[in-house]
Amino acid sequence: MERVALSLQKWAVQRRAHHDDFDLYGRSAFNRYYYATFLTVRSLIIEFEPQWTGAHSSVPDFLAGSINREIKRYRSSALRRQQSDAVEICNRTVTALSALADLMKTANTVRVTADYNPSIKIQDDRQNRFTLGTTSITEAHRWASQAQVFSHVIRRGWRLARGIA
Amino acid sequence: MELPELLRKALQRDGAQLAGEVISNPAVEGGLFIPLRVSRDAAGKQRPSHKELANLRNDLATIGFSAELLIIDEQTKSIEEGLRASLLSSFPDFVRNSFVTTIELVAHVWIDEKRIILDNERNSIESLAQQYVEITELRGYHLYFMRDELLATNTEVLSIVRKQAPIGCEELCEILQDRGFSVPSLDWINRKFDALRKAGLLLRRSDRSYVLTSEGLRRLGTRKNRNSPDISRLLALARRGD
Repeated sequence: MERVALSLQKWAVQRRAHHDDFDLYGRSAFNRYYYATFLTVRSLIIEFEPQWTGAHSSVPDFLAGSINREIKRYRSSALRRQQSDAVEICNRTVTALSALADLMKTANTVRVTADYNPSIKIQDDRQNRFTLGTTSITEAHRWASQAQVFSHVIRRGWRLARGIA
Repeated sequence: MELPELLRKALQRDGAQLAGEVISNPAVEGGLFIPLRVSRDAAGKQRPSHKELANLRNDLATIGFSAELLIIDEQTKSIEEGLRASLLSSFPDFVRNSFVTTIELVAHVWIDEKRIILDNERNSIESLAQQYVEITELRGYHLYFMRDELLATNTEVLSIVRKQAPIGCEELCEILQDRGFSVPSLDWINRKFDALRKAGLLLRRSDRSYVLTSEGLRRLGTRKNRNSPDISRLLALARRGD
């Protein structure tokens, strides 16, 4: 999916002189970067909550809310048993949850802009890059790999909290 | 989109500054994403404050808008970009990639290193991050190295032993790799087992496999719900056909 996004990004730049094409390829690139990221996060969530069928907009609250509480509950019990390495993993997990929630909020806004707000156009920044709203394509390009890092950290903490070895 | 008069007034009253166009969200009735620019005063306090933003959100709800406020903090964003760029350009020999996320003015710096980082190299990275803390409004920093993130800790090893005991070196290695951990060598596992045994958390059996001691079990704790480790242990035993 990321490769598709990158191709769309390159096509958009090649077609920058044709405003309609530039806009359509450009916003589709944002859309694909979003889905590459969303699929990573969704597979993390359903690994632990197989029944989860949340809407896109519910992802940030789910990460920062219910999962966060579960990790913090486990952190308190690990603290009581003086398992400092587990506490450390929980601290990192809490950080990663908050960062991933922020990322998903931004990314979802960009998706909604790309798909449902056609009057907001892709802006050329004249350096072979472009932006949609307040987000640059370079930033969108980094979403999926960041989400993978955060997912790895969260998976670790969540496994510990669930006692899944 | 065209801003409805009511919305424009609500935004003006709170001195909120739009950072871009307001985006309508068709999935929610009256759904809007509002990008707002925040800044920070000399004391590092955010303007508009979290409380003012929450009030704005409530006010918008009373006139029929379900608004998600997107905080665009350009100061923080440019610090993050600057720190990332300095790391990449200062340490090309051992930093492959890096990104920075800021939470409550603390920079969390994630580093994907090309190879094992030596102590003095780690110190140079730390002093660079520290400089950023000193010259910007950042309150502190945390470094995370991806290689460390890929190594299992004692608790994780104990937790696998609890479920699979008795367990030997090769078996643990396989399970760790299945879990996405990197295992430097079988010797690394041997040393891990040895350290845990000396700490009184594991017992070594005559067939060179390991089981938890009662202290090990106590240290891991338990849970009385559907995620209980006692149940996963029973299921693991049943699967093995013991």
